[in-house]
Amino acid sequence: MLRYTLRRLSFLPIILIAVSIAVFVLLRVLPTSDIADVIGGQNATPEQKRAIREQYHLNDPIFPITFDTSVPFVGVQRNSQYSRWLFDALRGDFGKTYLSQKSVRSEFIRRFPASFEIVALSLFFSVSFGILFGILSAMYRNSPLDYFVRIFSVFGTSVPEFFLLSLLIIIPSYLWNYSAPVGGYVPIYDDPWTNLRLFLPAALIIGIGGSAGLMRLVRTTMLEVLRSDYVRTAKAKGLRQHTVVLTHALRNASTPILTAVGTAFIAVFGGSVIAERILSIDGNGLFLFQSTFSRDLPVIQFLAIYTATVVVLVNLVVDLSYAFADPRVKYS
Amino acid sequence: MAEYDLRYWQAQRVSRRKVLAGAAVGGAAIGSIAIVGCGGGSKTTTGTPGAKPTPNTTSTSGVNDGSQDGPAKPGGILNVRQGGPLPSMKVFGPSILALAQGLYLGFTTYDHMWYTPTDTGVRELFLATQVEQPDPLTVIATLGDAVFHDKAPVNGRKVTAEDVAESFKRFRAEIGVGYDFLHNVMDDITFTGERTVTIKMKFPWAWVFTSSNAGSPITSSILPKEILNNDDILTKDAIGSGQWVLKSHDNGANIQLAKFDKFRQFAGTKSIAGQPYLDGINNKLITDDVAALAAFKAGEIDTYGFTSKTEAEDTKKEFGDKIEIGSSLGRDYTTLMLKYEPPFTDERVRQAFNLLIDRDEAIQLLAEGSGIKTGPIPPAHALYALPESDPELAEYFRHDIADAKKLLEAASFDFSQEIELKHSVRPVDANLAQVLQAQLQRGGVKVKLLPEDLVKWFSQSLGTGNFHMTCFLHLAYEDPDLPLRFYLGAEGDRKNFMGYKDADVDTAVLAAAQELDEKARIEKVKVAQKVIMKKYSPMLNIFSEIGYGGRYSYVKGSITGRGSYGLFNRTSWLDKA
Repeated sequence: MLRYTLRRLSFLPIILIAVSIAVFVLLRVLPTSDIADVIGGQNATPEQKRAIREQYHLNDPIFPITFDTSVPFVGVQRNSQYSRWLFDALRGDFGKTYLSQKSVRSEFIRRFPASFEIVALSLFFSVSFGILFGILSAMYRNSPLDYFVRIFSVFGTSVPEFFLLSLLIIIPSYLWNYSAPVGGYVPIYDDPWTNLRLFLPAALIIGIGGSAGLMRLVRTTMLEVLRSDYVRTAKAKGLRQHTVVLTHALRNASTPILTAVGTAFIAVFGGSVIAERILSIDGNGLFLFQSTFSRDLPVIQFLAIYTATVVVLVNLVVDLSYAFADPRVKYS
Repeated sequence: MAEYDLRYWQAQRVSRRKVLAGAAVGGAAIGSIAIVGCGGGSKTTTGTPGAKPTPNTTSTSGVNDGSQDGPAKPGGILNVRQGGPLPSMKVFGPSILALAQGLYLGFTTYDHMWYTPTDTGVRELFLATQVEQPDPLTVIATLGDAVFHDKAPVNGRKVTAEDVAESFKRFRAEIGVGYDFLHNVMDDITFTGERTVTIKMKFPWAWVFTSSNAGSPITSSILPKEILNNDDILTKDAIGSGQWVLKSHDNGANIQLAKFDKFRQFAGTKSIAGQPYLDGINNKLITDDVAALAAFKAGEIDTYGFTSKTEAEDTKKEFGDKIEIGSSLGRDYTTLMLKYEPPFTDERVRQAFNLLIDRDEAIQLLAEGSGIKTGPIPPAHALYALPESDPELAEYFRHDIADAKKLLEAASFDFSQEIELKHSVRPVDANLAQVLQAQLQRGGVKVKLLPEDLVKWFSQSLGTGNFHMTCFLHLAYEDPDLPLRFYLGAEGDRKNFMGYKDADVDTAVLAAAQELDEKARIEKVKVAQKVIMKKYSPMLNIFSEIGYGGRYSYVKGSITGRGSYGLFNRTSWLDKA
């Protein structure tokens, strides 16, 4: 297991470098990616734009390796934009934001608690509702509860989160003139009530939305498992229903469910960006949103790498968890 | 209904809604802000307090100086919306990056020598107690006693003439729109002793005291000389001598301001004694319009800029006397800009395109009918705009497809060609482009829409004149200088986006700009507009929208109908326990 984990982790740098190259290229082929245009504005003279490009090393080649049609066909550029960024990143320096000239890393760290809280709460609701109602739906097949879960899961997967989040604002406002507290992130340990008034409804929406797919998968998998001979045997032995379902059936159904939980995490992660935008939560989602509008490349680049890292690590955790859920899975 | 300009303090529908917005203003917001220099937003927003705190409206029914609600009750905190975080507290930098915070802090924490309200066009002295113009090229100002906020390293010391001169020079070192006066008109700024500042101009410029020039809410901000080059302080804090002290902020969001007790306490300032009346202003970051309306209805914020007339009316119905709604005519205006190259070098073609524009329909489709047609100067500049009854303005607004077709045929216009209409993807610009496309096509003109990312459109299309036609919502210019300057032909460092240069137009616009007598200047501005209209100069303005703002009835003392002057917000007070 340890060797497998280390082997998987050893791929992480390769994946991150590949992602960083892809992001680097994409950001630089986008229209208006020239920061001199963004910063200089319409009145900047060519000289001023040239100075801005020099300040941000935009005149340097993008990559350390260049290809040519003449011998030796491949050239090495010592001071490329990418290598400069990569070496700085390896030292933990992800640059400064174009707009505010603040450290990208410190801005990320400052906003991390708010983003973490909304993702954690949303994932909690997503997994809890998804598994609970999926199981109940399978156990009480064709009951009103089952129909409700099935309809809800279709609804949950088809209605976009931004719409639900907007309703979260509009409906309480319309009915009770209620609004979530605004005016800054209050940590849960400072003021739990204010914190939860802001985060809980949003996390519920994102979590419930994310749980829809999980519900369907849990229901389908559980239905299959519940029809198995060993479940019938367990019931015949007189085991209590919850023992049969939770101990025997659910564990055997857990492998695809774990995969779906990983997917739900990634969905929740994306949903948090929208929630932060709509609810004005000053987290990394809002940071990404604003930076994208303002072409703040160092921020976009860092957050893309961060997201890729999270996705890779979540997938690794999901893969490793198979071994715990199913003894037949061996990593050697 | 009370009238006031609350929309100044709202964020863009980014802009981003409003733009420039965004730009941390998200980038979207960024571009638009820079269009103006000192303007602010369009009805759309992005909004940092800087991105949309801009002056963009004028009360449609009267002027209030803040004293209309009787004696003020001091104290209390006003809660307002902040549409987006400020990217930094540093007011220096290329205008596109510094505009949001420049505007916000310029109206709150920094003081100025004077300000020229748009309703009177008459300079009002702020820190300056006396201003002389011994000759057309020289302005001499004498400063009153004032101190900076009590923060290190300045520690509440006296404001001196050297601070003023060095601040102007520091702004002049930057690039971008809004710095035109400093770069092109001002020759030098010097100080004598602690009290006297002298501005020397390269040529006579009558707009010198207005907000596009040496009365800019941004570039005339007075900072202590110790921090002018101290980025550590500038990026995080603002130390000025304005009526509000920057108390705290979460990296540009949720800004809290506290009353400055020692604000401008010199002889001759009795009229502002005790001001500001509020103890403070709390900005609450609310990026989404729906969330902002919900927060207003829940009482989380005391004021709100509605996104439409319908929304304002519905809220008024629901809340009755608890809230007051005000309407104001925006100084922002929509426009169709034509590149001065064939076929638009032919005046008949430009006139035909103008005839094809149905301004009434545009107002109905784009502003729910709440708008007023605009000539070269938007009607919100009541002193300078031509009256609606003016026959030449009426002719300029005429919509006649048949006459337009005749003119195009007479000009041998090639109806088979497809003309590109570039626009930014900002909703306000994209919607305008679609309406214009439909209207021009009714006259047989084939129009191809070319939507562009806002920043690209701004910097690579509008800014470089790389378009055949483009349309957009101008930001809210505080004086007629900028709206007229668009028509001035390129010369030296001066640009003309359309590539347009007409000797008669240049003469008329410059005659107004160099007329020192205010009454005579008003007349010359009107003459310049008539010349522009007669020539169908290739920026065809369409309409300005009426905006709606709301506040709880306990918010008293708002200054309305005075343009951005109300943004200094010293007279608001709260009539509640």
